[in-house]
Amino acid sequence: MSGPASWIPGTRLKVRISRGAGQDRWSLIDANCNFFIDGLEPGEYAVSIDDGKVILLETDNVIVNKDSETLISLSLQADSNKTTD
Amino acid sequence: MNDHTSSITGRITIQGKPAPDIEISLLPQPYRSGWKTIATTRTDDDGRYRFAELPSNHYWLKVHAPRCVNSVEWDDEGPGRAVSVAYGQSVQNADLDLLPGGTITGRITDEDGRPIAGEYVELTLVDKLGPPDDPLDLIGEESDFTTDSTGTFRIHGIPQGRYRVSIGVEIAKVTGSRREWRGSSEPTGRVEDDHYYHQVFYPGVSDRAQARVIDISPGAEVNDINIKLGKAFRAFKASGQVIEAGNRKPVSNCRIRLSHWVRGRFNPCRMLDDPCSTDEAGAFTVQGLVPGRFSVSGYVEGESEFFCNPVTFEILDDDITELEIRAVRGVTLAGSVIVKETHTESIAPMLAQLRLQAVSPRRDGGGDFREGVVNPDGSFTIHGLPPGEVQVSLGYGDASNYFSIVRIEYPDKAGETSAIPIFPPSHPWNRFRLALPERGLIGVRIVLSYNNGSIRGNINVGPRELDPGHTPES
Repeated sequence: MSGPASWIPGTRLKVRISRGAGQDRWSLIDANCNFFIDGLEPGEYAVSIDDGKVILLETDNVIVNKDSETLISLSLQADSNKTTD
Repeated sequence: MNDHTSSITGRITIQGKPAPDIEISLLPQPYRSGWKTIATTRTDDDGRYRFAELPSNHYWLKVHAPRCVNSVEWDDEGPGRAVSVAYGQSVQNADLDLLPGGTITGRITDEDGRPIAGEYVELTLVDKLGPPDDPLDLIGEESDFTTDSTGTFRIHGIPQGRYRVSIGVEIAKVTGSRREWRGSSEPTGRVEDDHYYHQVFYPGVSDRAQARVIDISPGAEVNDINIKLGKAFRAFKASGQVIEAGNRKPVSNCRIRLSHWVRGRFNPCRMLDDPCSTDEAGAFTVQGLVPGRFSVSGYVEGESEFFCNPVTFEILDDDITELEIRAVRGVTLAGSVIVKETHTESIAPMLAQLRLQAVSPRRDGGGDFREGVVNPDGSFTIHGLPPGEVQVSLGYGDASNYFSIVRIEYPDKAGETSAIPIFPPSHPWNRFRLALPERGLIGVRIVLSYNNGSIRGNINVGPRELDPGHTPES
């Protein structure tokens, strides 16, 4: 896993999961920093967080099993010198 | 969740000075033009504002100061900023400092000095903010990019930067005659009016590199950006009728699709926004065409049994009339959907939302699209397909996320069951190609897998809170 990466507070974040070529899903991260993506085939997924411009952190080897929910927790560092305004 | 509602407070300034009596709207984010405003307020004498009783969410704070721009990061939605409100917390100091935008005025005339009204002036950023060579779009602002009856234009609220000013159509972009297209436009072979001018940059040159660049600083007003246009060229129309092959009955409400011949192949025009459907008499007209080769076809929406054969034509120096598009009765693809290793009853609600798509490639580019619902017993029927290759996939929509096609079984010519070789589940589009015979194909079995795995995650933000202004509220 890379990170924790720096993030400008107030910028909306996106989570993207991928598994093999062309199989991407993404979701916006809510204001409480949570996300949930379902409807996934069993397998090994890569998960990345981006702010629409750059990837802030990436992790792979996230295993999804049939009939189950995989829980993950990721760390991100807020950039103390920048804001969006 | 009234027990845990939050507030946003902040201050709006213009070059550091309070901006009193400015209207501020709170919108959902990501914001799109036309989305419903959640709340509205105005700044007080000191430029301060407050929104109370808000649920946790991401918001866009839109500041109604049309002649101003954000001082730090320009946004194409106009002055404003993003604000994120976490559960049970409030945001303080969601401030925004604005700058007065610049103004450019000028006049557009023809070669004889007569005013040209109703033409659209474009500003192109030279080296800053957004994709180069894409025209600047000041959404929802009061600027007038269109010339009035005296040929005058006046564009306000321009962010600081360096700009080219131009008017007219970059014809190489429209025709696709230049191999590298700049910006996002497609070579559609169409312009937006019944005439067009070749593009001219201020001070009166056709070569972009020779254009004079205009510097806009905060609050600057640059006048007399006058441009003389060359002669107006006529844009042409193509009209005709869609009829049923055989009985020649007119086909109404048929969407017209246009393709433009660019460097050896037809390029489907995705945006055909003017009369794009046939009327009661099956008639259609496509406007704004520049000289070139085109193909026009029709698409009967809904559960139609017809598909249309495209008709090609060439625009030289006049309108084209009496084109005849024939709607032909198509064949049927029918069968059933089964879900492997899953009790169908347990996923019936999900299965009931599922749709299948069949796309037949057209010889003029693009594809004819048909959709069929999956019935509660798993059966489906898709009508109106042309014989030949058809790509089958799951339809768009939430339910399709939960399924993947793993196999298609179909009866072959000898009546034996054949199976399409299984693509890996990660194959793009998870789409299968079937050869649809002249008689259609009945008894197809589409085998799906049900995907019910999930990932639930949380981002720990450190070392600070979600937003610099967030402070926990009791």
